[in-house]
Amino acid sequence: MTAPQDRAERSEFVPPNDGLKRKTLNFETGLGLSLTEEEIEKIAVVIERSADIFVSGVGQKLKILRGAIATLDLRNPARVNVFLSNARSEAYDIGSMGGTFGYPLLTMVAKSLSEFLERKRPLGANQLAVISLHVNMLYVILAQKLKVVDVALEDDLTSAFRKLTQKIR
Amino acid sequence: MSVKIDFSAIRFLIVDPNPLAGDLLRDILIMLGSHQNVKATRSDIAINLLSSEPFDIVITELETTPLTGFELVRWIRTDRGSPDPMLPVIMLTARSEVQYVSEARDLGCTEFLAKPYSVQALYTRLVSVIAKPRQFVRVGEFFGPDRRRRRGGFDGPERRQE
Repeated sequence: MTAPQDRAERSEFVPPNDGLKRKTLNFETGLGLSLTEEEIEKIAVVIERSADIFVSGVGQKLKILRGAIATLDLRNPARVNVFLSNARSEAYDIGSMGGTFGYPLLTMVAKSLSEFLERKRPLGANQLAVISLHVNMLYVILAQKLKVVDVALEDDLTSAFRKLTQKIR
Repeated sequence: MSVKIDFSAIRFLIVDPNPLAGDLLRDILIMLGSHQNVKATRSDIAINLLSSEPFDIVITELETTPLTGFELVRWIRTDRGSPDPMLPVIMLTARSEVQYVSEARDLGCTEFLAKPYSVQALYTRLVSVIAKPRQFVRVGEFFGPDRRRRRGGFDGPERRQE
């Protein structure tokens, strides 16, 4: 058994690089160590500006996904693989940004879809129906601009999607 | 008089395959005062940029290609071609499950932030990276920030040196 001092001897410590600290910290210019409400509001304006691009972009992606689901031939493995790859990528992107733009429900449903799509198994009609349900739900959230939702409703929906994706694997 | 961070002096490299995510982050950094930001949608482009230009902080998504964000961190920390193995790296990703957070720490990420993120959460990570740099440790194959966080201590500039 190795003694603690032997383990410590094998560790080499390098002092912190404080070049960035020296270059940026001062008492005159810049922002404090915590943002003020006013500063946060100014940044929120920038996020709001990008939100319009996000909403229209996601709307377009969901439209394409719905079209692909409607015409997907499950007997064609090459087509199925392309569809799954695209759907995974879109679900990941939507899930990673929805909450930042004030759409927590969009993130919740997209993450559920993303997790479902990462499972390795053949895609059948039941799995496609689950994907379709997620995509339609995302479409409704976006079309209805469902930003603020009741916590209980969000919990119910999360639970329902979890049960669904556990039942149909 | 309170301590301030002059973001105009910081050069960021943003690595994210999603152009909108990269644009949003760049716009937020501009609002903080940093105008020297470069975006890359692929990790190989990021490596080329890191090899040819100086950067102060890298903010990367985990889901990048051809190398993942984790592989990019490993390159920065251990590759002979890396310009600065101690370069601060913030992993900004929707892969927020515990195993990803642990792996990010074990590969030497400086900070980890889950998407979707809030401005306050991003700012906290930036302040930590800038104002509270950590010592690095080389043990076995690991080279990265000391995984034991220090507590307390003064984070401002040394006034006596002014």
